[in-house]
Amino acid sequence: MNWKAIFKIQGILLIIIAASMCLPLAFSLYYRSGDGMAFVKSIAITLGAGLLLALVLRPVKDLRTREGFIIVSLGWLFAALFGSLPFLFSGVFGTNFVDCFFETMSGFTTTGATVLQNIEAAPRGLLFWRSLTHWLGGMGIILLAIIILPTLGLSSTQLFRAEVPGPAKEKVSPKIKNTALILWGIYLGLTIAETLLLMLGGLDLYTALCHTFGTLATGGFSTLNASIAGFHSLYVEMVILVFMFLAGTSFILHFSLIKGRFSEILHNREWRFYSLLIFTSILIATLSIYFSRTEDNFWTALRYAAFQVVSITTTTGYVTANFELWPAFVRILLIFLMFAGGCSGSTGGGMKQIRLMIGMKFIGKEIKKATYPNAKFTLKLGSEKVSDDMLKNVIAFILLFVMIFALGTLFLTFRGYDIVTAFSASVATLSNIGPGLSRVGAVENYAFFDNISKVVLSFFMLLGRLELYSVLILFYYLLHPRKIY
Amino acid sequence: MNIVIVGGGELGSAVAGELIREDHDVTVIEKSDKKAKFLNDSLDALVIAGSGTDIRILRHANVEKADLFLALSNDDNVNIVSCGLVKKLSSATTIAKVENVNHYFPGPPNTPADFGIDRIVASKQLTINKIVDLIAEPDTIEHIHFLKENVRIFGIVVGEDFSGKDKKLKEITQEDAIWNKIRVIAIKKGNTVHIPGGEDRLQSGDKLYIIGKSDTLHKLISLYFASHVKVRKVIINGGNRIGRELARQQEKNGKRVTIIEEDERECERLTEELDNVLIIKGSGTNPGVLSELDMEDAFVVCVTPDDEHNIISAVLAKKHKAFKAVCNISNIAISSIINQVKEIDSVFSTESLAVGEIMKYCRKGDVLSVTPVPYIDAETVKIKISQEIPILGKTLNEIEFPKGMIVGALYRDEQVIIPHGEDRLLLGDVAIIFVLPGSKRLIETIFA
Repeated sequence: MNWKAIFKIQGILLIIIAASMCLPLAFSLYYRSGDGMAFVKSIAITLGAGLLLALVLRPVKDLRTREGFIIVSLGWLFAALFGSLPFLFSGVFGTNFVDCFFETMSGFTTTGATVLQNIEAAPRGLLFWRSLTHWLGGMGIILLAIIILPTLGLSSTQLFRAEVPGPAKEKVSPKIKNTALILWGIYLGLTIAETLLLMLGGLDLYTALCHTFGTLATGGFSTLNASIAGFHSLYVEMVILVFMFLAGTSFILHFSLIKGRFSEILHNREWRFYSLLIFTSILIATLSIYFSRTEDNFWTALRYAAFQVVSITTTTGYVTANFELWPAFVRILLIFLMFAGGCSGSTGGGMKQIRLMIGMKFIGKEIKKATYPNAKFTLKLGSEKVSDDMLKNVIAFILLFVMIFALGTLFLTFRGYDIVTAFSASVATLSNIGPGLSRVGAVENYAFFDNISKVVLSFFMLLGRLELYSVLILFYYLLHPRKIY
Repeated sequence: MNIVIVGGGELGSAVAGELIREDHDVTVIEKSDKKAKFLNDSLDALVIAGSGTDIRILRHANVEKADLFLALSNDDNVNIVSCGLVKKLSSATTIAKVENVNHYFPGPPNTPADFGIDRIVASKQLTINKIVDLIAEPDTIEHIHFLKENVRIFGIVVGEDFSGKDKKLKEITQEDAIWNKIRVIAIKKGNTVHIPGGEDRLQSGDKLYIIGKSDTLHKLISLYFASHVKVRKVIINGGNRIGRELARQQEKNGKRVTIIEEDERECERLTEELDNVLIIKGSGTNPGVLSELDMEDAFVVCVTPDDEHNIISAVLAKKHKAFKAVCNISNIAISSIINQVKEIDSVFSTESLAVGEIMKYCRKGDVLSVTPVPYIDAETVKIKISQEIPILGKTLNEIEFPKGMIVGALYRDEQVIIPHGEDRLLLGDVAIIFVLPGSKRLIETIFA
């Protein structure tokens, strides 16, 4: 293992984190919210550690594939550890470091599950940092680092693969660095657009930014206790709904859109599937809510159902209605949508639409094969052939995802939580959504879990964000140091 | 620059790696899915799996926006056709690797330009030229020429009987003024290479790289390094394209040529095509075959497609008292290891020669060309000084050159100057600069 290079990159990452902490510091000073010192201390420690690692270590060798995975998952752990310092120093969770870590991990992995019981009582600087961790984690902190790495003479080809979600990693430019720049550029552009639109709806800059971060990263942290419902504004809901949908779409497609290649979008199978899934789910949920008399007005039913379906499918987790009160059928529908998640190359979590499509096509193919034993079939997405390697990878991923989900449920019931809470918390963290059902439902939070469960759930969020393998590789090598050759 | 490469084999990936190191945007089109996947993981480039003659793939690779198009697959037909397709789509300069130039372009009216090809690189021909140079200068191990062959770099080995053995470079220069007219730009002792100063001692086994005017260099070699063996016999291991063409050429030069070839059919073909050349069926690694031949004072060339075969047969040839043994290696990565085998006098590789030739066309600004000096991993860079830069007018002593960089020759008013510390760089000079691997990036900071 090239430990020197691995930790040098961690150092660079910490410097980025320290730099981004200056933004909440500014808001904290502006609002005199009293958490300024917490940020100054956190910045000093993070920057110190970052500079130490980045300047002292002088790696000689280039990175190899396995080191790429280690760097990425270790980087996210480091980010969450140092990112939780402001929570610790400001004392919102007392001295419970696990809560700080859970909240930060939930932020960076864009989960949005919170252990803050009274959000509105927390200092404003800290709430901004909480939302900013979403934004940094949404497009990926490593992807941000990739922009700088080549100037330091470090190769970054190995890192791209480990962080960007989805089974097929497309580049929009020959150079990884430029690809990262373009993706972050689109992300920044969308951020500015949504912030302006929200401000048009009467929100101040602070609130608009916090919710933009939560939306585009498909995170779900709000600065209000009642989440988006607290705005009581159809306009704000519509803006957030549209941007959630965009954030759940592949950013490669956004690039095609900018380039004016509309046909690419219409011919993108994953996008079509994603849109269709959302559309039919909204329709079914609306009808079910309306006919079960949960909502008397059809349009109100449509408004809440549409927002919730998009929020859950894109793995954002914003809430406009307490879906805990909806018919059981709709609640389970939402749970299913949690597994599906966003498109590959988006900021959304979950298994990703494309994996679901490939999995279903594979089942179809197996059925056909059983009926025509001698026939030959090729698995295709549109006109593109799905290679055997990719197919195996996808099937193994789905299997692993479901297995980890089941183990999580088993663990939480073992800790004494009820079944619905256990399985919905398990999938809501693994898919980076946030709210689940029952005790982790729409208007609840994760504060009641014991510390061990919180650590495990934080680990689940990381597993989900980095799509299982990277994290498993890290832990495999940590548990079996003798297997490092 | 935006560069699209067709073919991700040894040559294509080596060129891509070199271009990426120079910060170009590279897209590689590779036919095999597996290889494309591997390249995608190892190169910071866009890799597309598909055929280089498929117009959709070419469009996907964005050839419309490319500045340079390199067709480097192993198939001449693919390379020619893809250049033709690209020329219709974009204004990129097209370079095609075509081995069988005479077959496709025997002369007017069919020119490469008709097929949209701006330049042709014939990598095997480059190898043949290299071998011809080495046979013509049998006392050298490396041979690079510039400015219409007026300036050359020779690599030579300090022998046991070298008269200046164990003396300092300074002392040798004092004894004979001819050393003042050339410049020793690098010494390789064991595995380390450095640019020598006056205090360096020349010991037997050292490899020297010297630059100078051609006639001076020849004189120097005949005075100090000549073995006085006249090469009359050339033995070629491997009757493929390189071996065949080389044999034809050497036979014309009046050498007695022998080809050793394992394949029965190939042997037959060789006997039909070549006259006055002895064809032996057998393996160059078989001592029985070798003892049959009279190897004494022969120049042995190993050019089979199999690297291991070449290495073993070269070493065996030396055991049979061959005068020189040189070999062609396709795995560029191992060439530096083979360079340590002292029985093998010179190693070259078709791929790296082609890389060097192609890289000549990928330069921007004032850099006229870059020629790699293989196996010490160094480069010679030809730069035209056309701008007011800070180092102008200073003497070479005053300019703080990095450790691994030296100005080997200047070309001014159609005169070649081998510069000394007191010479100055002037506007309009063409400088030939020699750089060791660690200092390659520094050229831009000094000459820009």
